[in-house]
Amino acid sequence: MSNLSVDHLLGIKGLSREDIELIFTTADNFKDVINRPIKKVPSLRDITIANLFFENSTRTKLSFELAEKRLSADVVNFSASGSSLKKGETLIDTVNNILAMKVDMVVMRHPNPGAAVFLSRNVNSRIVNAGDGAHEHPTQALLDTYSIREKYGDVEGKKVVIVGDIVHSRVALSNIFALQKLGATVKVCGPQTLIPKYIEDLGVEVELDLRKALEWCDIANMLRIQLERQDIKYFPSIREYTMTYGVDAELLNSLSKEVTIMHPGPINRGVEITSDVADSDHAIILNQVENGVAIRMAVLYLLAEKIAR
Amino acid sequence: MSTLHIKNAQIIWPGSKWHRKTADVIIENGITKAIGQNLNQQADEVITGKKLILTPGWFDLHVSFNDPGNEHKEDITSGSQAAQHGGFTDVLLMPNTQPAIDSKSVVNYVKGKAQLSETNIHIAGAASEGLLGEDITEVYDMKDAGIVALTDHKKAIQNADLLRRVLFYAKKSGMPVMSFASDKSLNKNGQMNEGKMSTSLGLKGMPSLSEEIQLKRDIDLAKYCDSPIHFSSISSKESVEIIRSAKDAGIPVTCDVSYMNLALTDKDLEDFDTNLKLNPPLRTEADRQALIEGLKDGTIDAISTDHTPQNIEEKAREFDNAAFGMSSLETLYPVYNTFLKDDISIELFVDKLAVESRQLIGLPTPQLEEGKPARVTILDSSKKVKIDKNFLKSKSKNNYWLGSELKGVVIRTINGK
Repeated sequence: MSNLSVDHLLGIKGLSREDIELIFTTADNFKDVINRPIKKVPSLRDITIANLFFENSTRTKLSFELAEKRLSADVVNFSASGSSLKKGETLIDTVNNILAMKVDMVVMRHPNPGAAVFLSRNVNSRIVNAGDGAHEHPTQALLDTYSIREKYGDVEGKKVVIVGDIVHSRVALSNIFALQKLGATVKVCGPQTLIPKYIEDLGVEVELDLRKALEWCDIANMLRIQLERQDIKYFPSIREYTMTYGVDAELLNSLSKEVTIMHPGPINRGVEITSDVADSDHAIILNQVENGVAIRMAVLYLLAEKIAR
Repeated sequence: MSTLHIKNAQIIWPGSKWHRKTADVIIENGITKAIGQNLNQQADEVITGKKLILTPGWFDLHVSFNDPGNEHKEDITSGSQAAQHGGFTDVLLMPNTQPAIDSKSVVNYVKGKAQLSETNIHIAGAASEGLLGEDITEVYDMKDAGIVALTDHKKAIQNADLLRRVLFYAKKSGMPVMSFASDKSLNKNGQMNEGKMSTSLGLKGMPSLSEEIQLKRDIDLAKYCDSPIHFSSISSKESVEIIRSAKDAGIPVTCDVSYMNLALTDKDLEDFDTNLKLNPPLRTEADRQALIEGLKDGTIDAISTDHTPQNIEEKAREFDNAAFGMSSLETLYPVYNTFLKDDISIELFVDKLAVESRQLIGLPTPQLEEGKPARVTILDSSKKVKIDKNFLKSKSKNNYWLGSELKGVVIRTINGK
């Protein structure tokens, strides 16, 4: 088996198409594993992984932890939404304290863009970025594109629209990079206050009209509206957001084509998508969740391959 | 008695009869003793080099020494050493100290410490008390104590009426009012230039619009008050155009640019290097080209360093949490000579650093004449230098070029009195 071109997973930006395809084929094997009666392999039994979450997370943390345990790694968890920072300890000190206890890999979520890059340059460990501010969330983009590949056989040539809060979204950014590397075309859609002014410079088109965006695309990735990330109002009310950018069954059924609905979770039911859409055959939301574990196993496995042991 | 013999230097001295000629210069106890070809004289020290250049001592319009208040980052002594090491005989000290330089007593403190320094320290007083943007300061009392300019530095004045009062009230003093154009609401939480790079890095952008909108407002105020205004560290293409048209319309507007904005762009931020977290932010290649063009056609009057020392704790951290600024006094010439000399001629460079920068606060250019004090900067454009922690005399080492080898060295700065 070949190797990744990178020593850390800091973002999709640093990956080649071959890296992504290697992660996919590795994930294919692990997806078989987690569907067997014995869902566990011994691959990482000599590896200790620290999950450092400096920002609240439920499902990403759970998904990483399951992936680690199914690879037989030893796992320690550290959640500190701001607590050690409040005590004045720097990020480097916090992480070095944990590494001093002989940890091989760090999975980190952090509220600041570039935090994973910063860490990779300052501590001696493999780093997996589990989300850094509005920068990247590479495993999410990998599992999203993997789910598209699973449904359609290939990502190449697909048309994907990402709907919602693009400006605060690491999911959007990583998805844009991953989809483009794999040959898909991407548009973004949402209130213009939530779309970065220069997003088109990344080779992405902006479509402000949801119906037009849906008529164009094969797949719509509906981002969660993250009110907790908004210090000021970018749109006047949830009600008006749902009126203009929410997807319901009536809208989907009125389109001239089939559109696959994705959502990175957790869903605000009745905001981004209605329940009848979330629970319909259009949606592959639970497949995304399942694939998340396989993708994270693949990433951890491939990075651990690069640790001399 | 100490005699210095500078051999075979190319003289770049706008306004002097020696301009663009190659000659020897003898300096004795800070006084120019002789200038001429192949001088033969006993000297205590001889300065030679492959490509020596001799220019008037430089004047930097824009330095922060953090003294009083943050002497762990820099103080007047270390800042002066850094200035001298960077080629500067004179600097204009910004009032962003703690407490701010907003009263006679702080001016006197700074003057007291500055007396001991080799560099001539000129002081800019705060335009508003405590740089808070509310009430005007005792401009005339501070002027009597020795300030030469007024500014709220990077605490850009948001309140148009305050700037109006400052321009009116200070006009009689003849001192320049310096404005850092930045609309705070558009820059809120901003980390770098808003553009393709900030979008791709997920960092909150600082649109050049923030600078331009304020520039236009300030120019209108200057026009209304019929009072000159100077803009510190402009950074965008549109800003150059705005100032160019204001100058064409006869409005008394001047400006400077920091050399980081001439040498670097936001593309250099790809790795989240906090040493490049600057205000104004590094902008795009189109902006950089327009700034160079602005220097050439006279729209931009001076080059400054915007020297902003920060201790390592403020920089070795997440980008969002890092402080703005670079300790930049000492790398100007190596960076210019390595990256910029093809775009900006040495004559223009010296003019913007030693002649026009002084004119902005009414100072004459030092003279190269026998019997006059020697205020000179001596360069060697062929010598390579490794920029490391020992190279930097500044207390703070927040410099992007740390670890690089550059070509071009300031051999000596002489500040004869």
